[in-house]
Amino acid sequence: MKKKMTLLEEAEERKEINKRQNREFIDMYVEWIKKTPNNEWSDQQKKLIDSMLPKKKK
Amino acid sequence: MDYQYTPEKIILKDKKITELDLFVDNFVRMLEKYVNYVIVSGYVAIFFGRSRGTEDIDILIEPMNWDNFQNLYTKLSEKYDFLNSSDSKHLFNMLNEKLGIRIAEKGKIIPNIELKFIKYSFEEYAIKNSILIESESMVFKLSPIELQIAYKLYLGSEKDTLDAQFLYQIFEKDLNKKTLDRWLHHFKVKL
Repeated sequence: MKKKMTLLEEAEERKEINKRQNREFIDMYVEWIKKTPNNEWSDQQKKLIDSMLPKKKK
Repeated sequence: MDYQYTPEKIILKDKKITELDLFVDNFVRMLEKYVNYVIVSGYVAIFFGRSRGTEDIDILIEPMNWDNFQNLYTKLSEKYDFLNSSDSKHLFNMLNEKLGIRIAEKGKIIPNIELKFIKYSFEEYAIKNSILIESESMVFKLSPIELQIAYKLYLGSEKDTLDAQFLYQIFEKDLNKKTLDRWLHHFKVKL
């Protein structure tokens, strides 16, 4: 029977899976960005980055 | 992604300019009238499309004497707040003690510039070998990509490691492999 993981072992496993999937996402994202015109990838990135900054007062 | 790459310059046309790019551009246009600079760290990856935000932009400048720093401080104070202190002497001492000083648009905290004097050999390398990036009407001096990749791997956080992976994969065919290997060796890191 498989031994039950401790909470720390579970967290460690989750951390490693997250790390691996984040690296895989960068692989996929770079592949996409390389074949995407500058105005298109940068339009998506602009929306993300601008949404994180304080709004300019009008 | 369409760009032109030489060891001295990267030209990236048709990039949509973000609020962060404008913030950096406005600051750098003022800064460069007083001192040589180089942009390092996370913004290098973000400029080329890394999909993450940041609250600060790291900029290294050549050490200045007190009089020159006072002139810079006076000019920047017209438009920016110094977040650590409003005492220019204290800020100057911080820079000389290898600390960074944070500067934001008046009334704001983020985004901010973290300004440091160049104090280490790899920072001197970054400014002496900085690359120009041109995009629309903006021109910045950035740290060499090879150094950024190795240094980010050395820093080692998840965010830094992914920045390094992103820069490496974007510029893989353009990088100077010998230079990259040398920096990887210096920082005792591997790709």
